[in-house]
Amino acid sequence: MNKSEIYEGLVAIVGTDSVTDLDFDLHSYSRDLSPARERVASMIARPKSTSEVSAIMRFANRNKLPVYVRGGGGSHWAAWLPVHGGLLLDMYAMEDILEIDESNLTATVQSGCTWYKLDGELRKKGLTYLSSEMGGPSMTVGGSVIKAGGGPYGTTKFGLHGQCDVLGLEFVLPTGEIVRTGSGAYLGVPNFRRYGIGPDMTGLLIGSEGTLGILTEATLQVRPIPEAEDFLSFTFDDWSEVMEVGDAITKPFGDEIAYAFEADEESSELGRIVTRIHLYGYDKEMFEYRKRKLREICEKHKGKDGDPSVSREFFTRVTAGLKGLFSQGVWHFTGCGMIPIRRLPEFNEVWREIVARKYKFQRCTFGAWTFPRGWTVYAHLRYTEPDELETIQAISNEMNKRFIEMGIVPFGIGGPDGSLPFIRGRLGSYYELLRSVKKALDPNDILQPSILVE
Amino acid sequence: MSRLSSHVNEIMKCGRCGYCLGGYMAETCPARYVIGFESGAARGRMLAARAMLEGRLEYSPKLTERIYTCFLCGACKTKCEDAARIDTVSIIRAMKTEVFNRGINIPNEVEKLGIAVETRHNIFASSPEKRMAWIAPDIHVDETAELLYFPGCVTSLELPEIAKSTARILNKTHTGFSILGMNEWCCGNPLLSTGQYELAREVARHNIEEIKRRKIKNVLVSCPGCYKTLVVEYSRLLGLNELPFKVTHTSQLFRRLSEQGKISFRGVPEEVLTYHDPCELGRLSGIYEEPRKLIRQIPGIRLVEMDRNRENAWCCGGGGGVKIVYPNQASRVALVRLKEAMSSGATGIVTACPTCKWNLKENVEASGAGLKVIDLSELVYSSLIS
Repeated sequence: MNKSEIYEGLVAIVGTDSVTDLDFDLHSYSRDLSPARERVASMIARPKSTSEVSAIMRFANRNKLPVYVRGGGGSHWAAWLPVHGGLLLDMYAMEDILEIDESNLTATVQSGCTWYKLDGELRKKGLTYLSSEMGGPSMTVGGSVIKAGGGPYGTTKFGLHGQCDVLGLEFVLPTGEIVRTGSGAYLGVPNFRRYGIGPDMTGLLIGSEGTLGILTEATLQVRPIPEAEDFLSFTFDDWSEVMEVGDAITKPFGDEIAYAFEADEESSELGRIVTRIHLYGYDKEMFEYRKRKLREICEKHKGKDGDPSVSREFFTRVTAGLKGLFSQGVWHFTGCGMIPIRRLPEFNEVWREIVARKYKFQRCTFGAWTFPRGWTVYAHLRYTEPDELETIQAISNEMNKRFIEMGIVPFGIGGPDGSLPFIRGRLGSYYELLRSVKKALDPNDILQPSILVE
Repeated sequence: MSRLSSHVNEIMKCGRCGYCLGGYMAETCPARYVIGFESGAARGRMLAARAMLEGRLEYSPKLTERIYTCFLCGACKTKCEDAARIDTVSIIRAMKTEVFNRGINIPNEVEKLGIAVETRHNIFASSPEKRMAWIAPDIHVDETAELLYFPGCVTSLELPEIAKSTARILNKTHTGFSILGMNEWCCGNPLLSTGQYELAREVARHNIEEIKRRKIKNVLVSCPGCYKTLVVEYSRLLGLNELPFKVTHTSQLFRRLSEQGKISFRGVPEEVLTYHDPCELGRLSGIYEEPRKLIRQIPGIRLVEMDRNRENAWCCGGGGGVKIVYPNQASRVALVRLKEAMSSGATGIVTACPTCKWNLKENVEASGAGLKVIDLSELVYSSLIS
């Protein structure tokens, strides 16, 4: 099929207004948040329903058309950039909230629904979600789940996406079949439980970076808004002490003392570590106990009381977007991933060595937030495009290489413009199994080719 | 700053966070809502602008349509205040200018608009005398007054009831006013919105000279587009450090007259009204409270807010020249706002912009809302103690 026949084929599925090959449109999708170079798709389609996604995949298979999939577009490791051109699916049109089940405490949404939109509707019913990233209003549920993403919000208690919050999914296989997982797929019962009959097929999609199927719906566990919430901030001058605090907060596994615990340090001000803490309680006595306990832990580890408004501002703008985001330049996240709870200072030391001592780059943050028995660490560099691009890429490459050598579990892999070059050859038999699964589900290798699975 | 290349550093500041997209399709960007693709929103447009600057875009009728389908409502600019503080409105306007200056695939309606302003000095190509048709026999214009009333094209020629109400309020409060009459030219806002920078400069020069010639120190406008253009753009267009006169929007003057006790309201039949913030008065000029305070002062009227108000208000669809070039797109955006107004429980919408009134009113029937749409000046005048 030539390009115009493919265009017409897609028009027949999604309609004229939902497919484009206009270069103005194509360029507007050519980058994510990372400094990765532009990757321009040949066409973009905006499916509005699962059946349209299914029809697109059958069509793409027949024509061996590469298909890339994008949610809110906020990946920072080139997770959807169309490496081989082809078709890019913009899932944002699938933004509906399908059901909020107040009895089972679940919400079912289309994958293009944003956390911002979902939380707005949940709050009208006295509910909220478990945990999320800090990506602002455009981050979608689908994007978060498909990468098993996570940010500081709620993560100390509930972990990253997929750990507690995903109960069931609907997705379209690369060959076009529609699959439903979780209890909702069994015998007509509601989607209240992820596990049940056979292995966890929901987990197949979580963290798959879109390579094994296209997520179209998700059922999430939600929770009532706690009776009490508060915010604290402590400053520390030693990451070993911060590590001890994180260790103590997450040790009561299942009854973590904070809802969120985040810490960061600027390369321009080494030795001043600011922490942000979000406390919660469904019972005021329990809340007061946690608050007292948290203070005791921080003070024991030489934390100095800081300005709690910093934490309040940070945690209450999760979905609305942090203020002053790019005041020092465009962000590039690097060295992002998960590490065991007792290894935090080692990673900070390497960051200091590379960013502060070797490159003397003043606009960089090293940060970490806890999840149950671990840390997610990250660095973000603020830079000016295009002048500082080379410098930050050099820093970034060095950090990614060192962190992976040290054993970080990368937050996202992406493609050749992401973290893939750094982990190549290090994943052993697990990666071989992933390849086999990919081959079985996507025999023509058309879905997200060269992303995650090579 | 009409050239796109002069904005290159601003364009590079975009970190692609997507704040400008908002949290759902019809939340922030009306252009994205009607186009559907990312190219409607500022994030996509910044990438496309880079491609334009680097010569990677093919100029085609579709490209023109994409670029011209921006309402210049400033919602993205407001959202970007939290991120990179990019003046997205100026950049998108420069993109339109870039297309216009190339002279390829310019929409007919844009060309007609330019010709109308060039030859008849108004956007409707009406005969210049018609600018004064709103002056009813009972309205007194004082040619020696220091206050100049500048109604603008839409008020004078399409919605004369706004000009009449304004003039009658001024007469009633013994606030003398003069007019430029046939010498009032389009303020230039529709030209800037459609990329016609040079012609906008010409009309700015004319209007300023006319105002200066009459030694006017205070100019009163009904139209937020005129307001913003006179206050902000004229200095930019003509390289002035300062305007030689002060500009006031009718909502500001009416509020001042009320504070001075020159305006008093009688009780009116009970009614629930909502206020629609015009983009160029609210987000782009920072005037939110004066209209609300006035409405709340009127006994019998209960003001309710739409879910999205003040800096978060959804555009009426009338701005950015889109109503002129792509009226169907303007209607789609208006329908969203009318639905929202209906959900607020109001039976009517008050606005303080002739173009907002024009576009919302034209779409009321299609919305099935049965709402009345009135300008603040009409509401104020009809509620005055006689």
